[in-house]
Amino acid sequence: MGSKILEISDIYSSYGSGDVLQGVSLSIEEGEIVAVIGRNGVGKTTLMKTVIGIIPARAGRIRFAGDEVTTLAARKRSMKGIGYVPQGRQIFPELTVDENLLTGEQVNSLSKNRQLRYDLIYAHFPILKERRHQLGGTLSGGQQQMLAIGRALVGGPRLLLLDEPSAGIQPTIIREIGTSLMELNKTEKLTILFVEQNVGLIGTLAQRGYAMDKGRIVTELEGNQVRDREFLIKYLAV
Amino acid sequence: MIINLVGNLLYQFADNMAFLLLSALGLIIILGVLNIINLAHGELIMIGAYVASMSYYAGFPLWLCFVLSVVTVSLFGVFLERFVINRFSENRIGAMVATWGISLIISQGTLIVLGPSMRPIPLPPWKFSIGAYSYSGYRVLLFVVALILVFVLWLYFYKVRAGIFTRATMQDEEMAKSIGINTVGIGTLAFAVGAGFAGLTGALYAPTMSLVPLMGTVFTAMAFITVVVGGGANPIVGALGSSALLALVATPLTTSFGTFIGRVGLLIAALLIIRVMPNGISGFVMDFRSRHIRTVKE
Amino acid sequence: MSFFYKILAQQGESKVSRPFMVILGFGLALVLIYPAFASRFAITNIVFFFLFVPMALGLSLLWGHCGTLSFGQVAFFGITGYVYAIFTINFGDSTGMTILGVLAGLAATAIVAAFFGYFVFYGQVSAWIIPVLTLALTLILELFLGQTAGYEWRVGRALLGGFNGINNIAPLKLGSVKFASGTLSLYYFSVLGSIILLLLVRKLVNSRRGAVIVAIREDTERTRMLGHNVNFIQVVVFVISALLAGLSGLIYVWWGNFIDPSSVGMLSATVPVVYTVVGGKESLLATMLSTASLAFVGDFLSAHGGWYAILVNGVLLLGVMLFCPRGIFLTIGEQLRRAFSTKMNTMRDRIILETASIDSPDAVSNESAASSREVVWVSGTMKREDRPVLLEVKNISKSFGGINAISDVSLTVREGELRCLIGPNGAGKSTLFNLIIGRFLSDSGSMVFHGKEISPLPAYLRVRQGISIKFQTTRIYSGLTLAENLDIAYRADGDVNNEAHMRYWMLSMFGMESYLYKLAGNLTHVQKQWLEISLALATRPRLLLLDEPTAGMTPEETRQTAELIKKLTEKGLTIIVIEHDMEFIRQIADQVTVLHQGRVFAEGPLSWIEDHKEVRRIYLGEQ
Repeated sequence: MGSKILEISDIYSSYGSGDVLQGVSLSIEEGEIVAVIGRNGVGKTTLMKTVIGIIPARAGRIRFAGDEVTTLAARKRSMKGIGYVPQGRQIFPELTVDENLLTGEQVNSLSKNRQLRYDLIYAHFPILKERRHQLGGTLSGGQQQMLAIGRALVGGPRLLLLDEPSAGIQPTIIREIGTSLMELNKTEKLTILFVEQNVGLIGTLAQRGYAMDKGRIVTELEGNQVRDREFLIKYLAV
Repeated sequence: MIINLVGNLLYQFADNMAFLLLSALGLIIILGVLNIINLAHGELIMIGAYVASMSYYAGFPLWLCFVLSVVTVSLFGVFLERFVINRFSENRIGAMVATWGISLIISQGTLIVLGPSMRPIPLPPWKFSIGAYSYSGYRVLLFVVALILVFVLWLYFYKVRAGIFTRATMQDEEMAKSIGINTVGIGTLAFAVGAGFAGLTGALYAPTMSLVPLMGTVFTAMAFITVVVGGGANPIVGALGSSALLALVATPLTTSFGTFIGRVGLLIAALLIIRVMPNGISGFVMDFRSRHIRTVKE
Repeated sequence: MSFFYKILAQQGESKVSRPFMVILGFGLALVLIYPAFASRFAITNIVFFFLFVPMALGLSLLWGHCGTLSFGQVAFFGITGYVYAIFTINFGDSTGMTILGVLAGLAATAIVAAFFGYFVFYGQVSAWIIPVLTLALTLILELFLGQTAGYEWRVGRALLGGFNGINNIAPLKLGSVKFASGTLSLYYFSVLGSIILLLLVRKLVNSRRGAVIVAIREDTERTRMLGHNVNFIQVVVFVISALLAGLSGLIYVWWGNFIDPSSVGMLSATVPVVYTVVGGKESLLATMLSTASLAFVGDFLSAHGGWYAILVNGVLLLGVMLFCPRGIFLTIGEQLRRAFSTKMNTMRDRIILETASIDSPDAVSNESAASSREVVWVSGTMKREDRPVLLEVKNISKSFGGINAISDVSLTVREGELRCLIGPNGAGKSTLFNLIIGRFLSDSGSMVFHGKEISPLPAYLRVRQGISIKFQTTRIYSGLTLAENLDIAYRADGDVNNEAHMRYWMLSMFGMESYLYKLAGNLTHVQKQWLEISLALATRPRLLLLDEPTAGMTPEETRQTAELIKKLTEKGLTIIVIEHDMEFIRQIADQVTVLHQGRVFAEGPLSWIEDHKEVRRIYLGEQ
C-alpha cells in the first residue's frame, strides 16, 4: 500500500460557459497505473487539463503528494513533479528532438536531489538519440509520441498524465510504448494516469480504471474489468 | 565609372539596411515573443542616444557609453513591462495605444526637462574610398554591427537555454507552461532584450544625428513598417528578410530620384508585401515550410 | 414628433432616454445663448474646439463601433482640405465654386478611402495590421506634401507649397453668408453641425444596421456566418468615417484659411486617437464631449507653454488605458445611468407588452409566424426516399499542412431529414461542417445545395442560400441584447415587418420571451446554447448544422433540446447534428453517418449502426 499521490475531490470545471466536469472525485496511490475511459465529449481531456492546471477548477480540491494544489499555476504543479503529455502530443515542431527534451528539464525541478534521466529516456526510446538533431515537426506520429513522453519524463516526475497516447499511432508502436511505460512503472515507481479509448492499450497497461459520462465518473473498474472487452464496449462504443 | 556607381549603391544599400535592421530588431523580438507592438520603441532609442551623449560628456570612452545605454534602457524596459505592458498581453491594439501614450510622455517629458537638444557626439572621422567617392567608415561599421547583433540573437535563440525556452514559448505557450517553463519571466526577458537593442541602436546612431527629443519618431515609423513586413513568426528571418527587401527597393529609388521617392517607394512596397503576405515574410516562410515538409513515415 | 423620437431614441425605446435629453437640451441652450455675451475671439476659439468633433466621431464609428483602429483620419482631413483649397484657388470663391469645392474635396476623400478600404478589408489581413497600413498611408501623404515646395509643384494656379502649405484659402460662401473665421455663421455651423452630426451618426449606430456594425466588432466571423457581407460593410463604414474627417478638414480650412502638412503628420495622427480613447470610443456623446474639452485644454496649455499639451495627451492616453479603458466620460456616464436604472428597466418592460399587443396580435400563434416566413418547408410526414435531395456533397477533400482532414467524402441529405454525424475524435466532423458552411474552401470535389453548386461561394452567400450553422462553442454577442442578437441574424435579407413575429416565435420555443431586452452575456450556459440555435434559425435556413448542441448540458437540458430539435424536423427543417451523447442521439436520430479518419466509414439507421461490429471497433481503437 503506497501513499496517495493524487486526490481529486468533487471538481467542477468548465471550458467556455458551461460546466464540463460536474463533480469528479478520484484518488490514486503511488505506483498505480489507472485509466480514465469514456466516449468523446464526456470530459476526459478537461479532467487532465484541470489536474495539470491549464483549466482552473471552479470548485473542489486537488491534492498532489499531500500538497494542496487546487489554485496553483500549471507551471508550478509541473515543477512539483507532474509530467504532462497532452492529446495530440504537442511537441514543439520547430525545435529539434534534443531541444524538445531540454524543455522538459523544468518538470520536477522543485524536488530535492532530483536527477535528469536522459539515460532512461534513451534506453526506452533509442530513436530519440538517433534523431537528436531532427526537427520535431518532421517526426512520425509514433516518434512524436515517444518524444512527448520523453520530454515529460526527463525530469523524473512522480506522476505522469497521458491524454490518449494511442491516437493516430500504429498498433506496433502503441505496444512498444505500452511496454516501456509498464517497465518505467515497475523500475521507477512512476504513477501513471492515462485517458484512453483504445481497448488494447487499456487492457495491457491499466491496473484499474474509471469510466466517465457527461462530466461525471459513473463507474469504477476493477482489475479484471479493464481487460474485459465486452465490458468496456458499454462505455466506449456507440 | 561603373565602380563608382556600384560602390555607391552598395554603400547606400548597406546604410539603408543597417538603419532598418537596427531600428526593427528590438521591436520584432517583442512582437515575436509577446505578440504586441511597442509604439514607444523610438523613444527607447532616443533614451539610448541621450544616455550615450551624457556619458560621453561625463568623460567615458565611447564603447562604455554604448554599454551604459544598453543597460539603462534594458532596465527601463523591465520596468515598463512589469508595470504597463503585461496588462495588455495578447491585446495588440490596446498595447499600441498605451505605448503610444508612453512615447508621448517620454518625448515631451524629455523636451521639458532636458530642453530642445542634447550635445552631439562627434562622428568618428574614419573614411574610405571606392573609386571616386569617399564614404564614412562609421556607417559601414554600423552595418557590420547590425549583422553581428543578428548573429548574437541567433546564438541566444539556438545556443542558450533561455533562448530555446523562448522559442518553445513562441510556438506553444500553453504547452510550455504545462511543462514548467517560466513563460512570464521569458516575456519580461524578451522585452528587456528588445529594449536593450533599442538602446544600443540609439547609442550607435547618436554620432550621426542631431539629438533632439523627437528623434525617435523617424525610427518608430520605419521600425514599425519593417517589423510588420517581417512578421513575428521568426524574428531573425523576419528582420533580415524585411530590412534587406525594403532596402533593396529604397536604395535605387533614393539614388536616382531622391530621399522622398525612396521613402515613398519603401512604404508602397511595404503595403504591397503585407497585402500579399499578411503574416509578413517570416510568417510566409514558416507556412511554406510546414506545408511542404511532410511528416516522415517510419 | 415621432420623427424626432426616431432620431433621438435608442433601439427598443419609444421614449427617449431622459438623461440624454437633459444633456442635449442644456447643451443646445448654452450654444445658442453663448454668442450673446462672448467676444469674437472666444467664438473663434469655440469653432476650433468643435471642428475636430466630426473627425473624432468618425473614428468612434470606425473604431469604437466597428472595431477597426485607424491612424488615417488625419490623412482624409488633409486630403479634403487640400483639394478644397486647390479647387477654390483655381475657380474662385463664389458661392457656386466653394460649394463645388466642398463636393470636390469630399469626393476625392471618398474615392481614396474606398480604394484604400477595398485594399485593406478585402485583403484578409489580420485586424491588428490595419492600423499599420493606415499609418503608412498617413506617412506617405505627409512625406509627399512636405516636399512639394517649389513652383513646379502646383495644380493649376494653386501652389502646394511644401512645408508652408497653402494660404489665403477662401471660406464657404452661401449667397451673402460667408463662413469665415470670427463669424457667427461659422460658429453655428461648427457647433450645431457637430451636434446634428452626433445625432445622425447616433441614429445610424442605434439602427438595425448599427447593430450589424457592432456585431462585426464583437465577432467578425460569426457575423459572416449569419449572412452579412462583412467586407463591404467595413469599407462603407471606413468611407463614412473618412468623410467625417474630411468635414473637419473643411471647417479647419475655413477657420484658419490655411492648411499645411503638419495637419497630416504623426503627431497630428495622435490627436483623434487621444480624443476618442479618453472620452470613450464606444460612445458618440462621450467622444464629442472629450474632443471639445481636450481641444480646449490643449489650446490652453499651448498658450501657456506649448509642450505641456502633448505631454498631457500622453498622460491621459496611458492613464485611461491602464485605469479606465472604456474612457473617462463613458464610465462616468454609465455610473450615472445606473443611478437612474430602476426607472429605465420599468420603461422597457412596458414597451415589450405594448409591442406585443399593438404590432402583432397574432404573435402568440406559431402557425401564423411560420406562414409569414419566406421559406416553405417540406412536410416531415413524407416518406424519406420520396423527399427531394437538399444537399449533395461529392468527393470532398481538404488537407491542412499535408494532413488529410477530409478525404473523398460524399454525403446525400434529403429535405426534412435529421442526420447524425458521429465518429471518434479527429474523424473530421467539425471540418466537414466548416466545409459545408464555407469557412474553409475544399481542395476538390463539389457541393450542390438546393440545386445550386455552392463550393466556390464565400460563407455569407451560402448562409443567404439557406445553410446555417451553430458552432461548438457559444458565439453569441454578449454585449448586445437578445433582440439585437436575433435582429442581426434575421436582417441579412429579411422583411422588417415580420421581425417582431420572428423574435417572439424564436424565444417562446425556449421559454425566453421575457428576456428580449436582456443582455445576452447574462444568460446561463444552456440559455446561451439555445440562443445560438435561435440565431442559426433566425437566418431562415433550409439546412441547419448543429455542432455538439448539448455540450455542457445536464441530462434534463439535453432532453429538452432533443425535443426541440424533433419539433423542428416535424416542421420540415433539415438538420445535421454532430454529437457524442448517445442518449441524445437515440432520442432524435433518423439516419446516422459515421466518419473515421476523414472518410465516411458507415451510414445507415441508428439501430443498424449500433449493432455494426466494425463501427464498434473504430471506437475501441481497433482499426
